[in-house]
Amino acid sequence: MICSPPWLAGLIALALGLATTAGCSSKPDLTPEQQAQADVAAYEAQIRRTIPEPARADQLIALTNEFQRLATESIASVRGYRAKAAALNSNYDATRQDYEALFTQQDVAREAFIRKASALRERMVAFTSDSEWEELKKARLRALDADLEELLP
Amino acid sequence: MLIAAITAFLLIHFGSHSPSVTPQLDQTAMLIQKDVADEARRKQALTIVEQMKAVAKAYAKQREKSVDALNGVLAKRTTPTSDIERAAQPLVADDRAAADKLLDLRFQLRSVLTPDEWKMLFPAPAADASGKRKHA
Repeated sequence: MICSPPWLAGLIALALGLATTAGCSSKPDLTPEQQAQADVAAYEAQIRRTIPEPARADQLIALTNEFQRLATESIASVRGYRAKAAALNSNYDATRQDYEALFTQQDVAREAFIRKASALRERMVAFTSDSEWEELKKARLRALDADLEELLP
Repeated sequence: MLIAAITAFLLIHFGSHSPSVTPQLDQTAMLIQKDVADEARRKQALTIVEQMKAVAKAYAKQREKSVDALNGVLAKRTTPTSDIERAAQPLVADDRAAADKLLDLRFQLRSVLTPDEWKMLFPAPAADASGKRKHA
């Protein structure tokens, strides 16, 4: 019943596309925890390569960690919303008001997410130059890959 | 990736309602053919599903344009938040308008189907831990 729009698939493919090459170097015998640690270390190393000043790099890494926490909350919110929408879709007796209430609830969650994500983005902008920003587009935050993939049907 | 991830998460939130009320329409049409015995109601139901497909298609087309515009805005480092919000407004508005139309059609579809037929067409989701729907 639930489906994701095609544009999302394209965007996520773009986001994950950068993973392919780096992913090949992953050691297959790492535990998920070790892999996660290695991913975070690789991402931090990329930030430090891009931003040579340790203080600024530290700030950006902290912001990245903050975004990861926000993204995790967001995933939970989207999952919950989709599950509730799927339940309504299956319910013959669901009313328009049921949907309106769910939409309103999700609108509130969306506004909160956008406000926080925009604030984080503004802070990232403040800590980077144009060229660093361009370079950071290539940096991967692998911890979010699986979560983003989960949003696809 | 981080910047792409921020963009992806924003876009997921900017268009959350329409997909959530869009059934897998081809499958729905197939199940209507199979499970709705009464010819008149079957035809009515199939017509409604066709209308839903048209709404979903038009929405997807419009959305692509708005997403392109928003992506362009998000790609620039110096874009102020107010510009991002402005670029996102059409996405939010289009999503809500499409969701409203799809809901209208959803309730029209309900009006021509019995509870038992509805259950066959839209079985209760067996959600796994990730909240993704599994089809029976």
